[in-house]
Amino acid sequence: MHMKYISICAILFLTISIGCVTETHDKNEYSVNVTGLYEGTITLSQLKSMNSETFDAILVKSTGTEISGNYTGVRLIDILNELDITPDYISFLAKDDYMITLTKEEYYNGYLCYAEEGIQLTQETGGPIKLVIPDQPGKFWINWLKEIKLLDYSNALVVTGSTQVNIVLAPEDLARFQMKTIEAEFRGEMGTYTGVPLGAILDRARFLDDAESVEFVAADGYSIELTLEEAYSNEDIFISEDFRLIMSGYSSDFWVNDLRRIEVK
Amino acid sequence: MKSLKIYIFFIFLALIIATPGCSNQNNIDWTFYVIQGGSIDIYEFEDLYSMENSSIKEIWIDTEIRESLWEGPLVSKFGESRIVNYISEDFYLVSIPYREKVIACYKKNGSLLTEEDGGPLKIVSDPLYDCKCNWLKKLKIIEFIDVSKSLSIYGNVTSVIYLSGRDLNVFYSIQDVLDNTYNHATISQILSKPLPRESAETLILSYRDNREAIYKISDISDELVFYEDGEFNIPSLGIKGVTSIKVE
Repeated sequence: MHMKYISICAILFLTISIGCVTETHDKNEYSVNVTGLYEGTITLSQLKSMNSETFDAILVKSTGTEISGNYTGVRLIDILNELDITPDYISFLAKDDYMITLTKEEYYNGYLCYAEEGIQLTQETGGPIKLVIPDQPGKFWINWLKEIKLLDYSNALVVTGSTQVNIVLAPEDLARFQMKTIEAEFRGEMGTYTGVPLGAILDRARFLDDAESVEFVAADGYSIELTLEEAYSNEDIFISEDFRLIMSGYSSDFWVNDLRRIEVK
Repeated sequence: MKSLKIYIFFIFLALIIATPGCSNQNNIDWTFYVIQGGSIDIYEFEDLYSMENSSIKEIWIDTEIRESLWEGPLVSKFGESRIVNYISEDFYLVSIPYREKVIACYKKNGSLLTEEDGGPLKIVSDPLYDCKCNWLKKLKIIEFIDVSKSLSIYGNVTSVIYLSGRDLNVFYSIQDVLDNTYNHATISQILSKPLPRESAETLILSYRDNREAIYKISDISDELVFYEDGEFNIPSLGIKGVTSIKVE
């Protein structure tokens, strides 16, 4: 009778122990967070269990220097297909805070790599997971990949049109600019507003010489338009972290909520 | 009397030891130039010591995640324009919007920059802005450019750049940039700065009166671009007043 109890207790103990070990192992395993249009993670072992390819690619640095390498990884587009999402834009974030946002055309040939020259990537070699895009410049290859943010017009603010660079921002990305706080009046009441000056965003987008105006479009289609000169030079026009266009000194009609597109024309 | 001699000896010794240390910090032979409009201001390395410093924190990774603190005066202390160009001793050129936090950096973690750091003077931009490819080493020229008179190259390139007429000299020497010796460069020389991506094939030239002309890169890479009377012209193609080149 005692032996039965001892056996049951031992089995229970073993079961719980194995469960605990497995759970601890899962928590410690390196993973890349997927956010935005899909919420989840891709663990290193999941990545290794998928159909991988080994390929040669040349890293082209901004100085023009070329570095050849042999990589093993999984095509990003295959991972996205499994999630049934091919977003217009993806922001890739690294552990050192580096971030780059790519269009579908730019990220399409990318791989999430876990080995280089047949050797598993370590932190020292840019791993455990590294983004490699053979047909794109080195600045688009991301070491120490920690997050993939899937974006489109439904969850991001896109600055486009007569610009040299398209800017795509999730709300938290506004913190990557110098923020500003001002007191402003909205519908007769003074309030404190914090955000990014529009001029700073337009500077990153680098508007073209022939640009004349800027249209601000909300998620519900509501829009207003300003001349480029007015929009660029007024330091008190800015965008708050909840994607609200703060138009200090203007009537409430100019304050656009849920801003989704800034179109330079 | 003997003890006084010993004191004097030690003070003398201390001075000898301290002097090279001080002069080591003050006598770095590095001249750099700030260009705005037609004027060129000349700075010596020691001028940096009297300027107010700002700092930028960098996270970097090897076996561990580490931090470095880069220090130097904000570039905005030297001048103002929408876009600022930076040119290194070896003619690397980057264009960064003026509003971005950029420092003319000469210290890392409290010590002067080593050659390996990119010293004695380098550009450090906010890590949240673009990539560290903007961290130009061995800085020689800070140029506040007049965007309305510049030529921008963008599109299917590694980095968007703006060139002033003076910057056409960056293909020759730093002294030529300062003296504004040359007023021309070939299209292939110009494209070597923004570095077109592998898939780039075509150039769309935007020029005077909002007109456009489209060419294959290989067809016009040897053509000369001249800067004359405040405009970029390509006489061999009959094109005047080029404002931008879009690479596709």
